[in-house]
Amino acid sequence: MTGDDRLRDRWARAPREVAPGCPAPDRLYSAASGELSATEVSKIVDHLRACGACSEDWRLAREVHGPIAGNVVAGPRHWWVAAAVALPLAALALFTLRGEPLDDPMRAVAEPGASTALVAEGATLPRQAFTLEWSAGPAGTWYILTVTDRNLTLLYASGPIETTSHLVPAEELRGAEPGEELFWQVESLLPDGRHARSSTYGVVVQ
Amino acid sequence: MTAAVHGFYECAMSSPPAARVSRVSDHAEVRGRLLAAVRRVCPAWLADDADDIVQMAMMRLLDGRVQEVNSAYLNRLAYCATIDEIRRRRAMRTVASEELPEVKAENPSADPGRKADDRAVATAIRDCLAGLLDNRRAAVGLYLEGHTVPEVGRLLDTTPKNAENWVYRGLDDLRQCLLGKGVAP
Repeated sequence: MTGDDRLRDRWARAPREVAPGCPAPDRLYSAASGELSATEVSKIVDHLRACGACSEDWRLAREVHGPIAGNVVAGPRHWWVAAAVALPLAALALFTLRGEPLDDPMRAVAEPGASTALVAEGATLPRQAFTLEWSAGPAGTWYILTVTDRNLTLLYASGPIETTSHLVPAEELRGAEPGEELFWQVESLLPDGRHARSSTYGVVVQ
Repeated sequence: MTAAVHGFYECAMSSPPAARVSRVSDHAEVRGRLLAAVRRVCPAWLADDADDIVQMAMMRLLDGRVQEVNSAYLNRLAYCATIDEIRRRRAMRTVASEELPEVKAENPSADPGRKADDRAVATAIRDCLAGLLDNRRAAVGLYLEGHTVPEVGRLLDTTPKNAENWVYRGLDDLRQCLLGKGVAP
């Protein structure tokens, strides 16, 4: 765990009181969705600092809504797509993502209980056999796989699947140039109701 | 409770749904989609009550104000209904704790020493955050809540470069302050 992760972890589990003046749930959701101005968001963040309850509520809003206004292309409309888009796409790309993250706030790190890649980082995969594989969670775990390009565009999101490998249909990769590096991530839906997102991994499409 | 219900109403009314997907009159479909949305947002400790939360959300939908709903609307509604229930339980717990001093702590097995340590760290972080420059305080606050730097930039309506600057410098300031207090998380 990096220094930043430790700091986040300590902050997340730190016992904090419930402060007065909690924003309504809808306002929290609007703020976490990027619908409010920076000034209003800052005020709410100031409240979160003092209010552990709202801090928890904010994290849930972030989890439900997902990343803020990325370059996400329209895809099939199913509930799991919202879940898949909710993966921290914004943590992908922009910078070199090879290897395990150090103190790099640009990149999402694996959450406890998350799967890890069984495909080598930076491996080149044929477009027609673009199979991604990851370690298994506890029995009964479901997985959602997402693939994006460097511009954070969502190329593919699987539905909830029970297997620990998945062939991404070639037609879903038509927007990717040969030799382009793509990024993938798996969200585990654990049997106890928790969700755990993996690190982001890079592969090259042929 | 009143506040919670009020918040729920706000949720149901403040986001007109886009013209697509399910008709509210199709109860079975809407209910199924709401249940999926609630299960997604529901913490594990509240999962057994997902059906009740869905029922509360359905009651809001069936009051006639909304005719159609899309995924974004249902996610928001599920979030608000779940948070209302969480807040209601928090309030009940607070009242119970005040009236019944013998009520045990939330996690009786937790190590009291560690809990005190966590509390001290939380206080130190909170105090140090309060002393940061405005932009850095907001940026680090969001970062500590789990947002990535690009997300911080979008939420604070600034460039990724600015956001990166605020987060990095803010974290440096925060660490220096914590060290000054003898805290090294």
